[in-house]
Amino acid sequence: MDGWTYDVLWQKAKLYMDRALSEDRDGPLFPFWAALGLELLARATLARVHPALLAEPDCILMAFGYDTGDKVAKSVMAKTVFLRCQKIVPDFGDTELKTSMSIVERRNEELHSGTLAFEEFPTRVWLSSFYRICKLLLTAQGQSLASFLGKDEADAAETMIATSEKETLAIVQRAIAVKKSEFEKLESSEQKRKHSIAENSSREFEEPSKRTETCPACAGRGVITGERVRAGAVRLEGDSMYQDIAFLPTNFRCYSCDLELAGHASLHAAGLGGQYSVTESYDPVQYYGEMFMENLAADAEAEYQNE
Amino acid sequence: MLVHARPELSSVPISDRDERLRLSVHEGEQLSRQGWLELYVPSSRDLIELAQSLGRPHATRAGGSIIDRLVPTERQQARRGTMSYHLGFEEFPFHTDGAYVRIPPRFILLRLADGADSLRPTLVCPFSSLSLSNGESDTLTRDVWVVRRSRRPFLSPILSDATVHGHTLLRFDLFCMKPASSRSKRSAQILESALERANPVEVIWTPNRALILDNWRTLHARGEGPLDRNEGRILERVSVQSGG
Repeated sequence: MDGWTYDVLWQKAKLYMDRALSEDRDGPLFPFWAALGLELLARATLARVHPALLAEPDCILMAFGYDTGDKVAKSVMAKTVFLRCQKIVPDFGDTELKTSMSIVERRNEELHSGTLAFEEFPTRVWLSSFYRICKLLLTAQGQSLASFLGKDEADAAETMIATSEKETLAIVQRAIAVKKSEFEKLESSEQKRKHSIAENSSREFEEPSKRTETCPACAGRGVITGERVRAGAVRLEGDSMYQDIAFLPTNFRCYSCDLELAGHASLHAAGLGGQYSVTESYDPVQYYGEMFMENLAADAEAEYQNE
Repeated sequence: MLVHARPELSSVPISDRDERLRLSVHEGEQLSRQGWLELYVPSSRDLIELAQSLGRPHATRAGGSIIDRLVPTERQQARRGTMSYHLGFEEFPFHTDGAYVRIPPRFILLRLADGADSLRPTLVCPFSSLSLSNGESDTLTRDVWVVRRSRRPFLSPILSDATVHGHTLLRFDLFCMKPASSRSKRSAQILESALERANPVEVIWTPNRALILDNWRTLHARGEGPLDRNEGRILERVSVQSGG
């Protein structure tokens, strides 16, 4: 199925961006074409891994080049595309997923309803995030903003991304400074007490993605949580099984000064944005026992459906 | 300015070699280095065997022969969509062959047919000789064109690094390609302007002379000739697919 190959999707994504960039930036057709370009770019990202990632389950064979007699190759929905990108594209987190889907939903509204969905959609609301998401998708497929947009527009896009990051940095630095100032006003004994409480609270906090970090405001113990990116192979060491799970940090909370940061961009601005791994350990009996039970359940389901 | 090909570079007829059906190591290196090679090939059969040594020869039309016979044709008699249909006996502009298929043939072998005669040279212009700036090459890689003439039109840049893994593929034929957007017209201007400045190699056709073009990185054109007739020119052409 030629339409799912990387090359054709990549070329079409560029063409749709050309159409967007030929439009008035304040008009509705600029975001309209850009929205179509974004979806194609995301599909190209998946095709780069394998075209099968774009196929509906009953069309998988077509993705491998087999003629199944079906006339229409059914592609997965845009939401599935972006959910898959979240697993494949480094730093593509919940924020990026939400932004992408809000653009796609607006496009759907434009195409399938009488609403003028892009009529009141100024570039200040979406363009900087749009370019940042494009950059993530492009990097994942070995391309660049310049190869997608052309050099001039890419330079402008980089400036917008940098400005947006600076704005985030300013907001985060302000939040840290406020909490730091509040904490420093406390008596030394109170500071110690809060740090001590934070040590216990962070230890007791349970969440698979938990990672403790020093708070950038008060130097107390804070907790980072994140979105699961990928899991490594399970390995047997001694009597236990281990698996490294990689996470993208998306939230930070300090139990001493109550500093809270949300979104990967904010954590990145605070110097807490690097991906990290958490090692899960499993008891082999429990691990294989669960797999066995899952298989049993799957078999039962299959049998049920056969009736 | 035209640079005339030097026949002494590959003057040993291919039939006289020890390794009859293959290029010598030196010739292979020469083809690889400069993107084209001129040599003597005494027969059509040798041309096909040489083509087989380079890859997989294939017909350019369903059910057609492996060897095409290219004859200057006046407009009215030419098949619709061909260069002859548009240009008749005139010069042909620089182009790559098979630009209308997703993966154009890697090599094009041309040979003056037995008994034929030609006053029209073939002009050869390797892409690397155009000395484009990085920015210009980036534009040729970025800008998207619509490629027609096949059952299903498709999109492609002039320089594609996403079509065949590990290769940058040159595709240019203004009779089957047009800019997909107004922005893409830049790439046409860049290439046409570079071709105007270029110093192509002029290959004069003499009996048994053959030419191998690396079609993924070399442009060629038909030079000037009589405008009112075909002087007896028949070129044999074999298209070869090869990933190497």
